[in-house]
Parts: sequence; structure tokens; C-alpha cells
Amino acid sequence: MNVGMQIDFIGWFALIAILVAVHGLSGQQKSGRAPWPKAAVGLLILAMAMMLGSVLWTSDGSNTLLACIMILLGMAAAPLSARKQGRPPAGGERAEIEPDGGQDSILSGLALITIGGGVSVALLGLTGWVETDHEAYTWDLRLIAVISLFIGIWTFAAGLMLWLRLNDYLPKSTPTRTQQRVVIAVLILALGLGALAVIYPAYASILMGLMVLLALELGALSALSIAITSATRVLGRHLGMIGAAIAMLGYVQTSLFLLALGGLIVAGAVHYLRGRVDFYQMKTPR
Amino acid sequence: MDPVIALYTVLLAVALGLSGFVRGDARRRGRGLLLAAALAGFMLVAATSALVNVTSITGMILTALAVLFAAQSATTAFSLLWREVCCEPLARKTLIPPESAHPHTVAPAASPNPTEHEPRP
Repeated sequence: MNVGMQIDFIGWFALIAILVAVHGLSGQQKSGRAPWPKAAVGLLILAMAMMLGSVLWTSDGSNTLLACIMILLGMAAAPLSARKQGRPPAGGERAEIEPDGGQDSILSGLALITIGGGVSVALLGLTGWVETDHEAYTWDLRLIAVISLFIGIWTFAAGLMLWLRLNDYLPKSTPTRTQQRVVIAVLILALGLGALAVIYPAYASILMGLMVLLALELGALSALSIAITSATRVLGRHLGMIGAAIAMLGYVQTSLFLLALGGLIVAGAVHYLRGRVDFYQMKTPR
Repeated sequence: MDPVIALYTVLLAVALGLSGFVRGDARRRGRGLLLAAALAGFMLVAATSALVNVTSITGMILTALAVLFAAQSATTAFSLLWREVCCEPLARKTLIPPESAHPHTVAPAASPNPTEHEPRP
């Protein structure tokens, strides 16, 4: 697979910046406030720009224009989807903690993030499968491609279902015990199909098609078989899965930066899932 | 890449992240999730690197779409994180005074006297 990444020199600086930013956002002073949260967010954005710049700089220039256009298109699409929640992004600080739909707004945003991340991970996994030759010694690359596809489709379907539920496009459903059993059964079946696709690449298109269908169903089931109050747990779990997929992409692209970043995301999701949720945006002023 | 080195790096990063996130305030776990979402936005870097290195037309189309969606989710994550950071001082200002000014409004519900209704033998 011809996806090399020779940016680990820049990657170390970006990783240092990210660690400093994480410290700035989650470190604690005596008053209980983070030391310098706005500068930390700026540092994160700076690290992202640094990495993107180095990736585009070290390429041979054939696809650079396409990459720039796609990045700009995606950035332009994001505020539109966030504005759909009925809250202007630059509407002043007073309006941002209004009680009307504060929780739904941030949960919808997180669901949108999981939708986009899931589609992206699935497409990258599919690319990995297309670009890999089906020799016996490339089984690890094929395994990563199939797992990325599975995680991506599952995350996409779960995020989409949660977004539909949060915006009242679906009727209210009460989770039952049977749904959770079916989730486990479908998960085992999909994993088995994925393993078969890795072992027998000759029949892979049928097996992977079935696996994608099952992953879609799994995402829908896992988002529908929970109460809507525990939606943040599903979102946190899928963010952790995206982190695992990023770590696997780092293995494919031989980038220690992506490996370390995936580990950080998994750690953040694990830490989040152990506790209860609280956002400042969700709090009502009175 | 050597799988052992990869595994080592991931384990070190998870341990580092767990110890780093644990130090944070327990009331800011939601921010931790948003921070993880913002870090997941760095998938844009991986997608872009795959796009500039891809050779086939199919791969180009797939990775271009992946870059599009990754950019969308990264921008959403950063805007949500920024909003959360901006909300914090105001939320503190508006939340803390009512609790200190009217403690009796929440105190009876929060800490009921357990001996009051205890049945006597």
C-alpha cells in the first residue's frame, strides 16, 4: 500500500503542542479553572495547521489542489450543519447558554462529528482495501482495512440514528432487552464475516458487502436500543472507536504521530465513559 | 512499521492520556469528550496524507470524500470546543451566585434528614 507519511519530524512538534494544549484544557488550578483554555484551543488549531501544511508540502503536488479544495469545502459545510440547530455560532456569549435546547444542540453537534468521522474512517478503510494487493503477507493491512470499514460504518449509522432521534425525526422508542441481545448477535456475526473476508480475499466483496449491511444494522440497533438520556455514552464509545481507527491508520501510514494521537483519543474516551457527563453549555442560567 | 514499536507507542499514549485526563476537574468531563472529538479531527491529517499519496482513480475519489467529511467533523469539533471554552466563565458567573445566595432552595432536596422519617421500633 503506497501510503507513506514522512512527517514525523514535524509530527513530534505537533504532538508536543497537542500535549501542552491538553494540559492547558484539563489541568487544574486552585480555583478549579483550567489555566489558559483559549490559548490551548488556539494551540490545537495551530498543530492541525502545522501537520496539514507539512503533509501538503512534502507531497509531489499532483493531488495538492484537490486536497485543498476538499478541506475548504468540508470546513464550509461544517458551520452550516451546526447552524441548523437553531443557534447562531457567533451569536454572543449570552445567547450560548440559553436553556432552550442547549443539551440537544451539543449532542447534535457530537452526533454530526461521529457521522463525519465514521464516513471518513470507512472510506479510508475502503481505500486501504482497494490499494492493497491480496498477497498472504499483507494480512495485517487487510485486517486493518476491514476493521476500519466496520468501525466507520458502525459509527456512521449510530451517529445518524442518534442525530435523527435527537431532532425528533424518529418516533419515541423504548429500549427492550431483546434489542440488546440482537445487538450482540449481529456484532458477532459481523466480526465473523470480517474475519472471513481477511482470510479469503477471493470472496471478499460478497463478505464485505454483508458485513457493511450488518454494520449499518448494528449502528441503528445500538443507537435505538438505548434510552436517549444515555446518548452521550454511545457517542463517547464511538469517539473512542474513531481513536482506535486513527491509531490503526497510523500503523498503515507508519506515522508515530497518528499512533500516539489515537492512543490519546482512546484514553480520553475511556476516561469520559467512567464518569458522568457535564457540559457548561448544557447548564441553565437559573 | 514494526508492530511491537506501534503497540508500545499506543500503550504509552493511552497511559499518558489517562494520567493527563484524570488530573482534570471531574465537572469538566464533558469538555474531555469535546477534547477527544477535537483530537479525532486530526484524522483530517491522515486522510489528506492518504489523498496526496494515492495512485489509482478509485482511491483518489474515495480519499477525497474522506478528506471532505474529516474536514467537516474537525471543524464542528473545534467550534464546539471553542464554544464550551467561551461558555465557562459566564456559566460560572451565572451559576455560582444563586447557589450561594439561596442555599435553602436546593438544600432540603439534596440532603434530607434521614432520621426524621425513620420508623421507631
